[in-house]
Amino acid sequence: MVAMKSLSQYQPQKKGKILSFLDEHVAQLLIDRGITLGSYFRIVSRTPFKGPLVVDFESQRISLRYSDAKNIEVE
Amino acid sequence: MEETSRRLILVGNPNTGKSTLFNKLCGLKQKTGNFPGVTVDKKIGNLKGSSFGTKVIDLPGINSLRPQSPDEKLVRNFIFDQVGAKGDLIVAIASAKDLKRSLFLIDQLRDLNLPMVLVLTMNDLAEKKSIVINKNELETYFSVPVHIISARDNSPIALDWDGLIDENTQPLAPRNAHYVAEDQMTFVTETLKENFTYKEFILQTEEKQVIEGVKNRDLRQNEAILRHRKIGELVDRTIIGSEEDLLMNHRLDKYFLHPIFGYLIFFGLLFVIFQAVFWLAAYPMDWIDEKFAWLSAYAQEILPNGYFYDLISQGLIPGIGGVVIFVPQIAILFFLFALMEESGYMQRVVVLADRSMQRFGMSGKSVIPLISGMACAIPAIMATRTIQHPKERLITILVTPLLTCSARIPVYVILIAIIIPDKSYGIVHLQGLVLMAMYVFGILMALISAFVLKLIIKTKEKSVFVIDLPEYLWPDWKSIGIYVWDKCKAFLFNAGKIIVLASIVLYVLATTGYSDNTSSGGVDSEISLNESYLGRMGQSIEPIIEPLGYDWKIGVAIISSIAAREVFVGTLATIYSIESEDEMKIKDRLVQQKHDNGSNVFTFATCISLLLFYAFSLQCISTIAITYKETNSIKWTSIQFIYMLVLAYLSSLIAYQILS
Repeated sequence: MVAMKSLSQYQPQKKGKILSFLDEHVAQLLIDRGITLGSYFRIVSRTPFKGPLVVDFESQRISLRYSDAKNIEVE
Repeated sequence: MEETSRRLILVGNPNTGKSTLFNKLCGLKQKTGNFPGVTVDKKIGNLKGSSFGTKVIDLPGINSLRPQSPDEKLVRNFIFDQVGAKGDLIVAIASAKDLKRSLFLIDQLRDLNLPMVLVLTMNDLAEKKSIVINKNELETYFSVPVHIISARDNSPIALDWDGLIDENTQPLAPRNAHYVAEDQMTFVTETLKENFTYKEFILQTEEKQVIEGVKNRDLRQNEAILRHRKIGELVDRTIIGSEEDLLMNHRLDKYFLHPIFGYLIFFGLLFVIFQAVFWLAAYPMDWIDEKFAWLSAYAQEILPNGYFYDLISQGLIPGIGGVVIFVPQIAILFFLFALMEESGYMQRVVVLADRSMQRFGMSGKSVIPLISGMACAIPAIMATRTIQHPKERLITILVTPLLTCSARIPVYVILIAIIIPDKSYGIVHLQGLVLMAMYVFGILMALISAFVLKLIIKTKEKSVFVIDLPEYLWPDWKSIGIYVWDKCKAFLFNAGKIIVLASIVLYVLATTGYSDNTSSGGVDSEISLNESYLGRMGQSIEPIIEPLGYDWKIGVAIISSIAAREVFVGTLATIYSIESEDEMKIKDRLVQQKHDNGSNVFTFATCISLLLFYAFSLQCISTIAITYKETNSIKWTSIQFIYMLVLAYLSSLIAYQILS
């Protein structure tokens, strides 16, 4: 078993795929935008001191908090 | 056909060019309406050239019929409860250059079965990217008419909107409930009923509840997944364009979201905004000041003597002048805000600020209200509606009035002019420096208060933060112009009403009263200020304000400026001009005021104490009213007023006692 990674651990320019949501609030907000399990992403940038991450999902660019990104498991 | 019952209701995501279309359709003939009970920027206009008196309603942008923030919920409820009468047509707006994203809401709207047309905007930008859209696919899928336009050219006007209303009067034929997963369908029909409507489905699955093993959460998530899957397939059939064409213009994020440069650019912009607000606005403001002073003097000269005429020349005209003088600042500020908002930059600021704002119990989205609060707390508090989390929103509302709004400027300027010499050291202007210090005080106190409130207010709800970063867009100047015009108009008429009324009431209270000496009472004997109603009010609070270094005349000014801070200067002017007849500038007149024992009234200690009092006290009826409207709670409205008053009283007390 490979240890699960969270979205918050990814550095800018890294790409990946969503495996699971650990928090239903974040899940609903992302799913409403069409971002579901299996969606591909690319980290665009991070803000200092564990501030929000900026992430591209296909053609959408969104920003989410570090603490919320911790609840998204990715590979 | 009834004339007033025809309405086009514009619904769509934020940043789809919805407001640009609205402005095209209605021009300047528009007003901001309110939802019953709450103030939401719902704009209502008259359709240009309509012979039926057709109204156009522009609702704030939403992403889904399942609301995530208070403002989205208001819009959703408006669509559910107040749309659907005869003559109503939903104009569902999607962006041609970001079709996939905007069709989710359209798909939801379609299932309400209300008469509807689909309008794709921004076709010019889509064409620039050589995206071609197959209109027929969309018409077949949604079974509604589809029109492709560009809100920036004349294609919206070319459409026969009244014709569209006439052609689409019937409710749409219901579609299958394709948004419910097959294995959950039996459950849903059993819980609701056979042939349930989408509206019923949304309301039923809104709450966090579990019925017989099927979680509403799963129903909600499945709806989103199913809709997006269908839309994905639809968009693949509809759009012809290379992958490169579909990429968004995010290039500027490299700078604006840079971990270092991003912040430098932001603070640089803030600096530019403040320079513009103070330095640029000073010219028109001086001009307005001069003209109103002239008008007041002129009115005094040409009008006959008499109480009523004095009321006009000494009460009403300076009162109106006190309102109009803020228009240049408000216009500049809102122009720059609109520019940041329309171009998409404001969303980047929200991202940059979120981490720091979190430490103070607020959200990145609090930045917009806080910055607006430096113009005026009223639109600022209304702007908190985009903050989803109740606690973050409440804290933002509670601390916003601590920021230095433009109504404090005249108070600060006159007090600073009394105690600080008009000198410059190099490029540093001493009075300007003190004025800046007052702004810093405001910001610091807002942050400190927010931090304390964060520790006090308890919340169960988890705060989540997901925001969209739209493509950068070149702003539409006409829309910005209309926006600025709208804000200035709202300021002039809303705040203006109160200030003008207050200045009239003040004048009357200052010139009427009763005399203690009954023997000398004559009909036309003049009432002196200390015998007037206003004077008596000031005297009654003198024991409370004496430790702050104020006499009863200042007390009068404080009482009267509860209506609005800027009334303070006007009141002092009124009080001292009633007492003395000589024409002198307000400042010089104040400097010469003496107590009965011969000492100066406006000493250094008293002025500092007053500065602090006006910095922290909530002297603004409109803000109190808007806080009540937005929190819908007497408790929090009182808490805001009281905590600010305590803050003001204590800091003034300490400052005066140390300095005197």
